[in-house]
Amino acid sequence: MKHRPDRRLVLRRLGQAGLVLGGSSVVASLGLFSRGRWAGKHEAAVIPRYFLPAETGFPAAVVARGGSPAALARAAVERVGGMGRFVRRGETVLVKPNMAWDRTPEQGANTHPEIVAEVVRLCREAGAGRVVVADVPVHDARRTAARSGIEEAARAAGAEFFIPVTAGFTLASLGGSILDRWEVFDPVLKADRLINLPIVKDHGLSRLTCGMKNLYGVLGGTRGRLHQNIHISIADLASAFRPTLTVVDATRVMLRGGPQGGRLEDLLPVGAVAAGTDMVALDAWGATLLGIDPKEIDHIVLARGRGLGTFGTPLEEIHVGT
Amino acid sequence: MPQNRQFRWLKSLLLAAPLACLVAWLIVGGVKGSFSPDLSPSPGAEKSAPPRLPAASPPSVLTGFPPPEGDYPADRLFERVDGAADALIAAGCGRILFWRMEDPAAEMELLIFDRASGAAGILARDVGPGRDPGPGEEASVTDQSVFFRRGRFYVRILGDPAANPGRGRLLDLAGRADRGLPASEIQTSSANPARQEISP
Repeated sequence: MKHRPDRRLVLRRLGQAGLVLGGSSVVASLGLFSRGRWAGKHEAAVIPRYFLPAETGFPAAVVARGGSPAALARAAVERVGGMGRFVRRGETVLVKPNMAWDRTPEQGANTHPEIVAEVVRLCREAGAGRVVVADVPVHDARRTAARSGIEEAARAAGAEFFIPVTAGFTLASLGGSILDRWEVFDPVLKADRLINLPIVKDHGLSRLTCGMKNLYGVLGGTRGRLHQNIHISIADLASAFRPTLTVVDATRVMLRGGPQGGRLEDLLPVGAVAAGTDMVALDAWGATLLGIDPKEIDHIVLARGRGLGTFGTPLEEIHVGT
Repeated sequence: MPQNRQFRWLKSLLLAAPLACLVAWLIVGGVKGSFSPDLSPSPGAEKSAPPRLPAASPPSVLTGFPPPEGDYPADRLFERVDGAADALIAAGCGRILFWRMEDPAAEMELLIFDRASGAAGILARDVGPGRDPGPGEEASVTDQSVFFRRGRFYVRILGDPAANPGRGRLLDLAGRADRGLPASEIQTSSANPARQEISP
């Protein structure tokens, strides 16, 4: 005789299966067995304090002219106290160029690779334990790293090199008025010092991209969302990631079509590199190269209001080889 | 008795419904991956990471050209032109297609607007007021670039400075692109596209 399943038994078993499935889903949704759960991965990381207290006797920012990109970078850093003022023996230094675009060095959309390499050498000479060059490109990361010439130059100078295909992101607490918590590129969080290496360019939205805007490149996620309040988010970034030192590439300046650019005709050869601890003064100087009054750039004014620097006084100029 | 039987079936259905929902939720969640992904790359990701390509290769808009390497709708323009995306969207740009050419060594972007005046405005922003003889209704030509607009289509061609393909070959490429634009969708405009545009 064929046994007919009892309806109550079926329902009871369905109920038991539901309990098992439901319990499993609750466990899964709580992430109890997810990777990193017990390492506190879901808690926001804290941004290291990269900025060092000001020392008297050194200018806050200087401009070097009249030499190769590498010579200009070296001379400018020497004038603001030398790399030994900013990097201590054994420290991990994160060097952050603008390496966002699939462009060659001639196209002036990314920081000049010779400047990146020279800053890496300066850090090593100062006794840095590790020098890491890292950025989060907009265009294809591998291709951008290669075509910009930055990966090759950085590695040749003795740096480690990271792009998002070789390192991950961690949610970090930025404490800004707009940027509260955001994914930050891991190498940035692991560094003791941050050296920002922006390039001066026109920017379709913020009008200027220089030091403060370059810090966008430490973030992951959908960065386009930040553009709705771009000046406030730039000021937030500058507050959260106040660099130890900023070295500005103005060997050529993109006057039009930025930040992506690409046309050689849009570049103005300026032949200068600026360096210093006052990123507001450096951004203001960058704005003047584009013919913009710094007071018209909201994030510069906001950053000054937050005590991150000042502007209004012409930067000291040094001439390499004279 | 039949009433009681009916009631028991109803009760069974009521009990089974949440379970079915639960199972469906688990399946959907598994397929969509609704839990926060681990952003760190897997071991060996450096070697195996494929180049970033659109999820599906759409049919080419340009006759005579292969499918584009990149296809960016309005909500993903920032992946191609971060920093300029908002200005493009405000001008009515809804899509960018991207090709990387080997012969001549150049990259080409086709920006598709919803109106000719939007395309004209962005061209003017990119290159300023000067215009040169070239393809399309208006063009800006240099030894390393050809930017031109025809109707609501705006094409930017950048020669690779390392390969230096030269003005002539870039113009040839631009001419092919101009001829490949879908004639029925161009919306031609006159010297003042803002006045003469045809609504999409």
